[in-house]
Amino acid sequence: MRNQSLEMKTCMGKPMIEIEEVTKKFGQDTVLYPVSMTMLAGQVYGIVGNNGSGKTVLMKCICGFLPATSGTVRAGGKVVGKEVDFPEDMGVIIETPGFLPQMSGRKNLELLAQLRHVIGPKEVTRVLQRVGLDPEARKPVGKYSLGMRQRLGIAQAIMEDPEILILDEPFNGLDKHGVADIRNLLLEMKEQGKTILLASHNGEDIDLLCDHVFEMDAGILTEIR
Amino acid sequence: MEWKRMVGSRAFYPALLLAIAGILAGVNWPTEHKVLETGTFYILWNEALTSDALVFFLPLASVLAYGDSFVQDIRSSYIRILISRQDRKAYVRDRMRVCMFSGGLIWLLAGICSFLILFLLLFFREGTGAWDPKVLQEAFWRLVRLVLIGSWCSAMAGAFGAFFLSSYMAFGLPFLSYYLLIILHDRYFQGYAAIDPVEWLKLQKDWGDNGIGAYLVILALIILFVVLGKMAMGERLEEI
Ligand SMILES: Nc1ncnc2c1ncn2[C@@H]1O[C@H](COP(=O)(O)OP(=O)(O)O)[C@@H](O)[C@H]1O
Ligand SMILES: [Mg+2]
Repeated sequence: MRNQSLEMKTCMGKPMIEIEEVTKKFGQDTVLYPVSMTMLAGQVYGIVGNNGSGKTVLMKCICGFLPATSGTVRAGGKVVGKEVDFPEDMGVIIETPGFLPQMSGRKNLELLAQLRHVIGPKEVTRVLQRVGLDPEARKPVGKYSLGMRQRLGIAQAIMEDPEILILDEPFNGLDKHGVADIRNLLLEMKEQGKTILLASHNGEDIDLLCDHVFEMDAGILTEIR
Repeated sequence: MEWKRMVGSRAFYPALLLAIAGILAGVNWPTEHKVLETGTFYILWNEALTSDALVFFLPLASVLAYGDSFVQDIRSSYIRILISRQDRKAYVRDRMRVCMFSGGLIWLLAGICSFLILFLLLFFREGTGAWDPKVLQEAFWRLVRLVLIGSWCSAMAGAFGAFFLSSYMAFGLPFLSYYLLIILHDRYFQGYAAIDPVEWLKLQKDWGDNGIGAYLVILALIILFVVLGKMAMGERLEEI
């Protein structure tokens, strides 16, 4: 029953991201061998793989942060890097992101919110609480621990409630509580029917959260579940 | 967003203080304790707007506030958070625009602050009499040129920073370029006042009606560096 209603809500099955034969070379080094993958709406995809295997590079290609050497990435039918600079309705965290170090977490998010104009201070408060940061704290981000910065990074990815989430090592730097918090958060997002791509070098988180699991090994992506 | 970010940045107030100090350092403070002539405060302000001290501080204070903001964005990977909300074109346009205005803004604010400071310190020691609008007019246009030269310096900072991806270059090269032009003019090309930033400020030579030539030279340089800066940033943003 629940699955059915979910299906109606998110029109499950619609391709959100289509990756076709994407390769990436840095000079002579091939970092991605032809990678193809389709992400359907409402599904959660996981990529496991060792450090340096190419997970981050693939995610950057999906976001248009890196141009693919060959192949295309389509998001919502539009070619990333040609028709759109960055996929619409997508939230992203790649590695641990930087913020403006002299401002508080809240101030940082409020400034970012002004770029898209879809949320206001109320939503910023809510998202900070959701990731377990104090919305009233005045501490500048420059003095944050790695875990706090990671939480803030996740907050900026989800704050505008995007349909697609690209999360590269979201558990990076988090303590046990942090991992549990974020895991619950992602389960919630999954319930809401978001389309999620998750990369981690830790298979446990992936197993729990993902409908489809891929392994990246030296630039070769294979589906393992 | 960009403006709030600039005003909230760590370097903004030091840059502003430096600029105010630069103007006040050029004030020829009255030493005698007698009633001053009417308008002393703005006459001194007007003189200070072209003083040697100010010429020295000009490129420094202009670039400090925001000159290396692009470098910071790339280095801290903040850029990815921005580009996920704003396409590259819009980002480059905003960044270069605010970079350029930052230097001018510092001098505009410093000009206003120093005017108020001089007013508060000296006005009440002045005798009464008529004001001289000519001096005020001259000072106003000096301030405009100061703002433009400040913008040129900060536009250079944005462009050099993006080209070399280095804060040192963002801060250092505008400074060097500025002095290089002054030295070239003083040593080798004394006939070519058009290349001398000090002359743009002082307008001692003939620049056409109301010094229009000087404004055109500075504007052309601003546009040149804005265009170069946008190109350099665009290049840098291909892989982030
Ligand atoms: N900008 C770059 N220039 C050259 N090599 C890079 C660049 N980015 C990543 N690489 C290389 O690509 C490979 C994959 O990196 P990455 O995707 O970050 O691995 P991970 O799976 O740990 O996320 C590594 O060997 C890395 O050195
Ligand atoms: Mg990685």
